[in-house]
Amino acid sequence: MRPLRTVTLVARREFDARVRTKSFVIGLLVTVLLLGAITVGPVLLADDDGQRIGLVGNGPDPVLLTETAEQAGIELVPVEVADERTARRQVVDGELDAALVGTRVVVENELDPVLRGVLEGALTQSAVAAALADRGVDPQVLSTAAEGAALQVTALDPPEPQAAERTGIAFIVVVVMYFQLLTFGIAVAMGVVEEKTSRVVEVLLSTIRPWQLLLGKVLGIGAAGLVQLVVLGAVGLGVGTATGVITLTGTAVSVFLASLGWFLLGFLFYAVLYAAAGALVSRQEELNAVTTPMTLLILAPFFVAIYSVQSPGGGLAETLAWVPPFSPILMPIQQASGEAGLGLTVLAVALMLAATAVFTWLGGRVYAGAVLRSGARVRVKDALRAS
Amino acid sequence: MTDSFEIDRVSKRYGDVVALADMTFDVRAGELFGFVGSNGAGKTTTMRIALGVLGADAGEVRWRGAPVDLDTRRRIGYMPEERGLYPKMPVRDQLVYLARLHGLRATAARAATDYWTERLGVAQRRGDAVEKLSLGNQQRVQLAAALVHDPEVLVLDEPFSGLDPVAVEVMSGVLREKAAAGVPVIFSSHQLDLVERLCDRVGIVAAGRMVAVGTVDELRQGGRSQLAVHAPAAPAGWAAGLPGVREVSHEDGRTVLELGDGADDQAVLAAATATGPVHEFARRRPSLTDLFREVVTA
Repeated sequence: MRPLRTVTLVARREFDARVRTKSFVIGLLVTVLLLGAITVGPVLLADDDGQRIGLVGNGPDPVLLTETAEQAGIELVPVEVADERTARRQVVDGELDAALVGTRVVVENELDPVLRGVLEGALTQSAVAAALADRGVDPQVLSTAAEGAALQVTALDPPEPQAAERTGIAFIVVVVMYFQLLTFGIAVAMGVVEEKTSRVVEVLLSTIRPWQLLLGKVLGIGAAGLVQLVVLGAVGLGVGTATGVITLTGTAVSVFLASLGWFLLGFLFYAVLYAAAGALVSRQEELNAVTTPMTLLILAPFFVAIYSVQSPGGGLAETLAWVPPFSPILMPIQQASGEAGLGLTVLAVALMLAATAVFTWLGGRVYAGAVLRSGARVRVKDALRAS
Repeated sequence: MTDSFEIDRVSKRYGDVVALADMTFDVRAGELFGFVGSNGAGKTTTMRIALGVLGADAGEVRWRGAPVDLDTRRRIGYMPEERGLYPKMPVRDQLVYLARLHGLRATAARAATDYWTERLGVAQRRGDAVEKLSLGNQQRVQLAAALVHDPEVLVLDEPFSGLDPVAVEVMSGVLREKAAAGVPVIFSSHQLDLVERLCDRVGIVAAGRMVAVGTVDELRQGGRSQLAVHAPAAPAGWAAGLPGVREVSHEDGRTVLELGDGADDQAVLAAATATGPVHEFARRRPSLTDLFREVVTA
């Protein structure tokens, strides 16, 4: 039998063993729902109608009010209200955000400072206009003069209009990547220990080689992780684009595709180490102690990423992005923010591949030397000597 | 001697502890070979080395004259001492998977799985996860796992332990059938009566060495033979002085004697009749248990 056919058989079993479980399906559904809620929730909850403001008696011109509000960047909907009593009731009921009675504002508990500015501006402007009109000044002259006095801003380093969106994409990618690497890395370690505990490894290794079992396991579990990532990404992109949360579709799609690649690279690196760690022990309870180093290696770039997600161009995150075990989590942020040039990406991939080659070889030897030894925890040194 | 499975001067030590010292025996095609010995004598170590899951320090394992490698091992059926199956995997999927790892095509693997689960009486549990089965049924599945790829050699570590009498019968039947089909079958067991009844040849291991090997009858000839004599009137020590004869026990006129080299059983009979009536005079056939005790304590 060809060696790779054996690997395929093992990989398919591992894939089925993960994907056919209830927990995988339920977990995926829950994550999809959560992701959907995070993306769509703010859109549904946002008050698109703007603030409703009641006008009682002869207040400022509603058109002037909405124009002033627009300049301040908020949306106002003026509503005529018959008397103050009705206005008060509607404010309490939440039908109105505020009511303007002459120069007095009625609010439920406090006046929003932006709204205060808008109302004050409108009141002042209509008072000035009325006073000047009394003295025979044409209101047209007044508005022309006001337009000439409008403030103009010259920004030397203007913020990128979609910076917030890029940050959002980067943040989601970091969180998802961290969970995928950790969850599926530990799944590999648990799978190895399960085979040791149940002793099925003895039956398997009387007919196939350790590297075939290891490679098949890593590929099968990795494929399950990739399927999950693809489903999550597709749902996220689809829902996000459909609801208008994602406008940078090009960036989002390329970051998503890059994340798939980085997941594969990162998973390969961590999975073999997790497998080697799992091979050292014979019981699931002992697993924590031996997998801690790998978990910390994933946790470290995650924290760096969370702290640097606002400014991916700066310092630590940028430097660590091309240091092998950290790139899978940190590079997608650089890409989301548009900081990663082709050169940096190629360098990071090359370094990651080199590191993976070295650690896969080392991890494979530890695995082969330890996986058939049951009982007490095997020391790495002994495992290397035995292989 | 081409169709034989040979263990040739295999040695293994763990630090200062010698696990196996020049372990040597062979099992011929069509032979049921019983492997007996105390706990820790080296049976499991020998089998694990034969299957390549443990490396030997020295020696060789051969099948049909060629050293056993991974390709050969794929054609061996193995049942490890500590049972090994995926607890959460359904019986059918598991057996098909193992058959395919041994090189069977999908259709052949499914057919073999159906056949062996039927034959071993676990057909109605094919869809259940292994962990849901009773220990006895798990063991039947484990045997099915060793048989499902139609192996050329069978190596079974304690296949009968923990089985009820019905399952023992089923399993004995299968092993005999495989042996009759030309497969060398090696199995270890502490149930010596079963080994005596079932096996063509027996190997007794002690402290990592093969101390006696042969058919049960051959082993008996190697052992000292005993005589049971019932002569009610015979006094204690009546047989003393006969050449090569040693009294093992004497109680209520029943005497057990051990005959060494050059002892003449007819002289013993004459001495017995001289004491009075003789109701019983029989050569006692030592059981495998007797032989085992004798060999292991020697």
